[in-house]
Amino acid sequence: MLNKLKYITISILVLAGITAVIPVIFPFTDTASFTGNYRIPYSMGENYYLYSRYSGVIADESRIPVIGDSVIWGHYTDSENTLPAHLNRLNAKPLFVNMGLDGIHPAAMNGLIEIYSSGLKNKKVIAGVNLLWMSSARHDLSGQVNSEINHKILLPQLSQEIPSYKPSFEEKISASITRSIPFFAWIDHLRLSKFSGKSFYLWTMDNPDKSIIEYFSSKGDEFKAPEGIQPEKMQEQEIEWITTDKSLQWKFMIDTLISLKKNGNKVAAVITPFNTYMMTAGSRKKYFSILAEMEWILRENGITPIIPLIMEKKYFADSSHPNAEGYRLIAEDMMKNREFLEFIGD
Amino acid sequence: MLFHSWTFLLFFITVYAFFSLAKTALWKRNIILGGSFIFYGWWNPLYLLLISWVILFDYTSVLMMERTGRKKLFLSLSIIDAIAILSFFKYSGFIVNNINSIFQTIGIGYSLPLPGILFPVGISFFLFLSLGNTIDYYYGKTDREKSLIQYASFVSFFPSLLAGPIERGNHLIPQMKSWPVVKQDDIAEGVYLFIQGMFKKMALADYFALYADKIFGNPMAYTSGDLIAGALAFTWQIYFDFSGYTDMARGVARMLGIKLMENFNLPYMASSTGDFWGRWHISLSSWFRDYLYIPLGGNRGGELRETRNRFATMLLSGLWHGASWNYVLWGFMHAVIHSAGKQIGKISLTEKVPVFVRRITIFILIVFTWIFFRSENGEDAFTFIGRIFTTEMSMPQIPFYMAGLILLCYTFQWLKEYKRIDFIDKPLFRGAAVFFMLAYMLFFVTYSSSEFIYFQF
Repeated sequence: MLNKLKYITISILVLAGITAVIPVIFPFTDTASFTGNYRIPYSMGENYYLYSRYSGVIADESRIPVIGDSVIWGHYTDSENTLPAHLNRLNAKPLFVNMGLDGIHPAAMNGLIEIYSSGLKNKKVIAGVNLLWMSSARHDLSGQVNSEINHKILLPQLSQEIPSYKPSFEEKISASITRSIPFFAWIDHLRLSKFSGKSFYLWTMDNPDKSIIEYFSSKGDEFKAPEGIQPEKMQEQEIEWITTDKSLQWKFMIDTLISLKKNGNKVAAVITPFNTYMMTAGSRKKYFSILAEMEWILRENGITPIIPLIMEKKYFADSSHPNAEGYRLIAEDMMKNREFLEFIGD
Repeated sequence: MLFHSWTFLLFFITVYAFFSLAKTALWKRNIILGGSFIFYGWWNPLYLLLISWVILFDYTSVLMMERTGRKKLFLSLSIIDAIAILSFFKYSGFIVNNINSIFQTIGIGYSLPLPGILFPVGISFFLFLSLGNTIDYYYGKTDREKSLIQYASFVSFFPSLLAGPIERGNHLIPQMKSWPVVKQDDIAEGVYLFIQGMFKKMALADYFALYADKIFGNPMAYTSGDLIAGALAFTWQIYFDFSGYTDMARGVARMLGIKLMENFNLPYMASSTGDFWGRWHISLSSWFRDYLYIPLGGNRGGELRETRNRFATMLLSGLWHGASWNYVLWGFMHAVIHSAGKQIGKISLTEKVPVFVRRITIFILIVFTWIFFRSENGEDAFTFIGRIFTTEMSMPQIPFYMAGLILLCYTFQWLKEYKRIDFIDKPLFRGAAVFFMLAYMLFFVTYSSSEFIYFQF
């Protein structure tokens, strides 16, 4: 006859076993749709389990992942008009995979690659570099404490200090544990992909009359690309650029690229264009100077830099996001770039 | 550091590792004392000054009682010290607000500035615990604890420090002195209680809070059905919030080999208000009974004195919960219902009323008293109750699942009261229950570290 402690221990062990196995075997993985110009849906922006599965599938293929933020993801356009989609159209075969994630910044990207994309090895990887994250101390996370940082769970919790991110000890521990245990990412995946992105309890509050069965079949909202700023409404602004020697986000970007290289990947960095019509002459001058510094640093680290095209303002949706036509122009420019062609052609 | 947080888990694992290495009761006690100070200081290191003061003052008071024989003087000093601390930290804002209201009423155009004092969490609990021990010594119910370290361990014992149970010295100190060897059964019982408490808090109380907060946040926006459902949701929220905390506290203590007293015994199955207070927050009810109601004369000296003593006890119990008139009103309501119940009980016909009818009647009355407890102020409470009776009775917008859970909880209490489900205490069912509760929390509950309601008291 087993005693109380043995029954409780067995229960806990069985549950631990189930939680360890479920993320590996459960079929909610959306692998079927990781084809063509697929991109992680907008509402799945924090679905790191899905990203991890996507990354795992791509790691086993010969296609080239293009990682980055909303500029690579294509915030102002549909999935068929993003930069990777246009590159695919211009290339003889669909070679490029959109692995951008809306709202991610270099510091979070660093965590995303380290924790959820560790399978990217011995491949060619293209990374989008967006200067938006160096356009102010707030964006750079080197300014005052900011509670509205995206993808907080991906930031370094215990190893490194980020001036804008000051979580409580509980938040740090919680984030570290959550991202170390795949089951938690899988639970989030279920919540986001199957249950309208809400917890069961909150869903019942929003739908008091609905049957519980509906909870398991409801879908999240579809993404509708927002309207960009009309060119005539784009105004010049003074930008407080953070230089490469001081920028925290740039440091994270370089760390990510170096870490990808250490994993045997061949890495190219596409510095995505910035809307020079939305900055003053002084800001523009500094922008070009930072670009030059970036190119030099990338080359120093053995990373192929792809320098951005200067585009008219009608090809932008805001200060840093191109519109569909803008992406087409950038893709065309890249496909004429000798270094880029060499990079993808080996 | 909340019990249902990762920080506490790390803290407990660390303390438990050191505790397990300790060979003697003395070392076990010292490790737990160190852990308790870290636990309390984690909220705010300044709190440690306050708790140290309480420990030193009451320890010295009892010492002086023994040495000088002037028991009454030092008991009075200890009581004054406790009242002064509570008045300063807990009631100063309330007192100033009321003085300002009086100024306004009599036309004095001056307002005293509000103090803005930091409220130390758990203050009412450890002050009452320490004061209770001093009173017990005064009445000769307990011996003087000679070791200051031992006394400090008793007052600051981290499982019960923040929200009770308000232990008695003659129950907890002897356990600590000969610190029992932790047995397998202690760990099983402790783990079970902890998981059960976590389930009550995270899976039940925090869910019911979503609806209760919505209704109590703006009662004018709802009609009868929703207001009744909101009051019911709060009734179960506060029970699971507080009894969940107590279960976790008792579970943690049990894993350390210490048995803390029961604080709840199916309170919503009470068949009279007196019965309710014997089942709800038992450690506080018995504290007020032993240290206030009985010393005031209890039920001796005639009906009028008994009623006076009851009202004094209930009003102070209300005020203990919070520095606001709605808590006083809540205590007053209980005193009124209790007194009325006593009078009705004298009618011989009432004995013929079946117990289940009495249980349901008391439950309904308790639900109404909780409206005073939860409302922002007395005016809101009366508005809430007024609208229950004056607005249209419509179908409440309470989630179907939540209504089902409430019904399930109530049914469970009936079955437990009538011992129809005693099999759930068997080892196999305990194991199954642990599996179910953990799995339910993992799949359905989003982690949040919301505080316990009783932390504000």
